[in-house]
Amino acid sequence: MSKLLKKLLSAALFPAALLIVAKILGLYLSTRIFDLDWVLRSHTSEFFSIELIYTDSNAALITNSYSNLIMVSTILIGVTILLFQAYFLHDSHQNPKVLIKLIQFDFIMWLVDSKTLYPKLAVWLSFLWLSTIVSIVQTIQSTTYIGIAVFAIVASIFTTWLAARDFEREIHLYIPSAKDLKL
Amino acid sequence: MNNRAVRRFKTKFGKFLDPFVVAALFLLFLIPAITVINLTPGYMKQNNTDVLGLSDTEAVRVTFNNITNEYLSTTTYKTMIEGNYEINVATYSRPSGRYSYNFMSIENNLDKDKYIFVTSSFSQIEPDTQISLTVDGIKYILVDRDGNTYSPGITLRQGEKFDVGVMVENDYDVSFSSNFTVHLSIGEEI
Repeated sequence: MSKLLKKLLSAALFPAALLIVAKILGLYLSTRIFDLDWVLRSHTSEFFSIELIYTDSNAALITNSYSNLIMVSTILIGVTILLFQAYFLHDSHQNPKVLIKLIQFDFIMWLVDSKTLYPKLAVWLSFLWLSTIVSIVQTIQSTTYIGIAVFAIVASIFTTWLAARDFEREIHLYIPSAKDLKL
Repeated sequence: MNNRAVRRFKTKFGKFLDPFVVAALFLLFLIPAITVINLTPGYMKQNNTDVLGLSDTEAVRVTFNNITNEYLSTTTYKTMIEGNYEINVATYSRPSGRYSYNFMSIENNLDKDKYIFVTSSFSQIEPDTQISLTVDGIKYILVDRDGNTYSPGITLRQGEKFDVGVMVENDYDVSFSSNFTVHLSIGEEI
């Protein structure tokens, strides 16, 4: 079996579950914070058997928007941690000063290798884009505030750019660029 | 089987598992996406008017008037498909008798007849109880006393207005609560 596929599969389990948990948590928190009335509607004949129903459209808009914000933010936190690891705790391009500090404080085990980091980063970024697409679609359907979609788009583009930069730097460690070869 | 044989087996057949891993990976993205979309909350449309058609005067007007009392309550939902409504009816413990309440009025202002398709789904069927849909006092049985269910079709003549309601008849006292859903679909006669 392909090792890369195995790595991707195991890396995807946690963010997949986290995405659902964050959405549910967001719905719960926004309902509690804004003190909104809700009921559960069950459809026995449909594929999706349970639906959360609020008393008016504004309540549904508020809960959906804030739950989407929590969902995007949760995945964004995960991506940010991985980007931090990529930039500061990556064994392949380690800053000597940081390395000394890590050894000093006995945090050397925090170093990550590329084989572990990049599959994780790719999966988490995919989930961030997935939550962004959901937010965009729901903004078009007028069920989410436009600000949430804008935040998600900006966050996704920025983190993808940072990840791409780090990946490029990593590639150049093994395949020198044309500029390097001239030197 | 020794370790070497296991390794050889894995090397030989492991590659055939790759498509399944890809499928599993795809599912790991698909399931959260579907779940998140499904978790999008809806909202009630109560005591409201819904207009199906071109304009306010030339259309089918549907007015909801949900009922809440000690024996019965109704909640009407407009579904995503135009002209489709779902009425959740909850019945509570009650003495034997006939209970009838109107929860909706439908006015056909078009110059053609419309047709109402009625279906219902019951979480449990109360024994010795008959449940009907009433349209201007005319009874259309949804479930009879023997537990047989029916799906009536009702013609909505042009220019007429109907009061739609639910009638629950039970021969004995009922000491528990139950609920059922009536689906109304307003369309053209087939």
